[in-house]
Amino acid sequence: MTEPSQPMAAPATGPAAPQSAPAGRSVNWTGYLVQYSNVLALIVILLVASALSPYFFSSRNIFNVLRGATMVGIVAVGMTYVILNRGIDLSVGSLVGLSAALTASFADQGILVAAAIGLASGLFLGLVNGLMITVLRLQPFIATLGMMIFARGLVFVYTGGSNIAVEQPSDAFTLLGSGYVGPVPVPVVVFIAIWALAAWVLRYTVFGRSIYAVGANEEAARLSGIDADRNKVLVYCISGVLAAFAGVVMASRLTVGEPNGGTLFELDAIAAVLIGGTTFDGGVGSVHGTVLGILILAFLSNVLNLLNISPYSQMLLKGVIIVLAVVVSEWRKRK
Amino acid sequence: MRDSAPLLRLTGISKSFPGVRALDGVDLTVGKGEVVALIGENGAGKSTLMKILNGIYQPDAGEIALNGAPVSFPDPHAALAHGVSMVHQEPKLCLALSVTENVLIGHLPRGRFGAIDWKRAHERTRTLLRRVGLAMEPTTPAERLSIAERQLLQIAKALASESALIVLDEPTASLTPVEVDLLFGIVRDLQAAGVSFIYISHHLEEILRIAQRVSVLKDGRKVADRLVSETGKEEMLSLMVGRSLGDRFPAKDRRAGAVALEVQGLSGRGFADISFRVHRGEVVGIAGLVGAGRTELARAIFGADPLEGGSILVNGQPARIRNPADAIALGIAYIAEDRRDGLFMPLPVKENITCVTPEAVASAGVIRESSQRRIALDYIKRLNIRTPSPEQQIRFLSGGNQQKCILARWIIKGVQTIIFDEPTRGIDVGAKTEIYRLIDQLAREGKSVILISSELPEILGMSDRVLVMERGRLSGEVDGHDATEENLLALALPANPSSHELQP
Repeated sequence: MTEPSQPMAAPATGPAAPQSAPAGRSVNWTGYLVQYSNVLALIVILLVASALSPYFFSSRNIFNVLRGATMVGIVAVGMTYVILNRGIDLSVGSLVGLSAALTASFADQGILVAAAIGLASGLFLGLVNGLMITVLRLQPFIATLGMMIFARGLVFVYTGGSNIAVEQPSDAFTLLGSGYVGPVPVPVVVFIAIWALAAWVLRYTVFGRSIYAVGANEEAARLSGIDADRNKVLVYCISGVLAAFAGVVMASRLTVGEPNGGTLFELDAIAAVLIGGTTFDGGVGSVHGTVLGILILAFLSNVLNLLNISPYSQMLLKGVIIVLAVVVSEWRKRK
Repeated sequence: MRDSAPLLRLTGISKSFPGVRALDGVDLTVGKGEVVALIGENGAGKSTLMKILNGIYQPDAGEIALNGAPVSFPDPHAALAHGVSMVHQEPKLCLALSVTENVLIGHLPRGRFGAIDWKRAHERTRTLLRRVGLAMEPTTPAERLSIAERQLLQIAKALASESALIVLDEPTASLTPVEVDLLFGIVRDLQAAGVSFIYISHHLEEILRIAQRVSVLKDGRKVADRLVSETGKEEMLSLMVGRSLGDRFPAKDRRAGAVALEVQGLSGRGFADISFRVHRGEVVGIAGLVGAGRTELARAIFGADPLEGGSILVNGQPARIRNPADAIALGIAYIAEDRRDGLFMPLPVKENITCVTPEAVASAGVIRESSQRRIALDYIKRLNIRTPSPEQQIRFLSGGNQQKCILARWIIKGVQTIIFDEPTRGIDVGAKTEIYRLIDQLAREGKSVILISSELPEILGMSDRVLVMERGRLSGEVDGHDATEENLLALALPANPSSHELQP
């Protein structure tokens, strides 16, 4: 690193850069409201829930909700990487199903071998997604739409269209999906670990920052010497592996590989990412936001269940919330 | 304009952008059936003025009057509705659609049930095409048209909306001499039919041929308004330039050292057979008209676009550059023509400054935020970058400060050769001076600088040597001390138009 021999003094000219933070001493309440709207939304949901039912804040209910959210949650962490990178991965739901079917059918080889086979399927098909997008220059939407249909086809062909049940699952096999660490379900612990690792990689590694850089401006990334194609391929591999891992959790929890397992996971994951404030324009967002999005969706449907609202009507509200979340994140960007 | 009001009268138009006064009390009139040329250097305010006339920008002060009546153009539609059209240098057409749709877009004739009456549409288009000398079928997709035909198509489109005033922005930039003659013939015919034109061009010969009056802009002010018949080419040139360069640029007493970069017979898309050397401690300017192939050359040297032939030597050693990462590893940096190609808008200043030097801020792939912040703060101070903090998103900085962040990146990287492509485009005068000083300082430290610029004063003020490109080839080299706007322009303009082969 060579540095200039003397400080580069220059005349002071030009206007000062405009401030992005709320200016002045008065507290900008609307600004904060927009900034933390999703945190607020979660708090409101929790308050409403606790008022509605004394049962809500029991650790049993809370952990049930959390455990139920982990599979989509794991997929959504991978989806966050992809969307930050200015891509989209529609194939994750099918990859969950494929991995779950493979894990269930190899259960007699032991959980480690079975899980490894499931994970390998996600890694390989994620790699194919990445190569279609970088080598064939396909749009991510098209490449992963093709993969979504292809991988679901694989699941149906492999399972013959019927469930693959695990015969007499061992305790080791069900640990990942149904075990507990004290009062906390194992999948919740595993999800927190994945969340922490994913957030750390994004914030503190050169690879993580390159995901943002490529998503924010691919041409600038290329001109900065970043291998944008390699970065993208890795991102789709990570998304594939995380989807496959969600499939392993699913197989372990249900002890069955269902041909339709993971269907629509991609949409729930995308919804969580968007509610969490990550934008489709790339380069803006975080895994923390996504986790918030997952919690909002999970507790919302818990509350609506407690209120005895049918799953069909729940969809109406979810649709509205997703659109609202995106509107709010546009406001946030303009602040 | 004796008794009746002129077709267009702009009075006291002013427009400022943060840090720049782009236009300062500009007056402009265009009579009915008149061709008025608008000339000035890059950055003189021509395009800002035309954007105001087209409703893209709103003036801070001043009045627009058509036929004596004040009007306002809140958007391009309003301008079009008042009969003001713009023909862009690079035609904005819907290439997949037919000629008819492109010409009549917005007012396709309707028949029964509001459906489009295609028969009438094609007939009307055929009439309009005839007026601009085009003879193709109205159903031809626009993508099959040559550049010249696309220009004429835009004029037909302007006629379709019954425009009384058509702005032609560098219409001949990519036309052959025969096509230019054709275009001028059509302009004269329409002029005879009462259509007025504002003609923007760097080609003074063309202005002498086609325009009746010429208005000269310099630094956002109108400095002259003459009859073309009473004005020579030299006078126009001196009106456009005539500015003291003295204190804006650092002294040129730099000393060149060994050859740092040499290219031999380089060819690629947009340029061919280019050879030159750049020494340590030297600023080499590359002048030329827009489209002469300078950016294409720079991007190819940097590995951003493929090379088709020739070789690159770095410090005398043959270099293999397949992508920007290779070029950077060899100590070559490229600062893009469009600043947005270098910036990560949503990311903080500190990351924009350190994005090419992971080795300085990370170990084993893990970023040390404290070193990242320290290095960023250091360079924010050294380069006088105006930002409230290193964490500020770079999109909130002014253009000049953004450019300094990009430059900081490459200074930290310690590259040997920096290619600047239009480094001061769209930034204010104060920040320009700072950039010039930084470039000078880099050269004095023994770096090699290639400076691509369309602003001749910048080339003259900064370069130890000037290379001139014309239509993809090197047309000459001038010593920095002997260079004048006149001799550079002479090399940059197509020397002998008739010798150029026609485009297929």
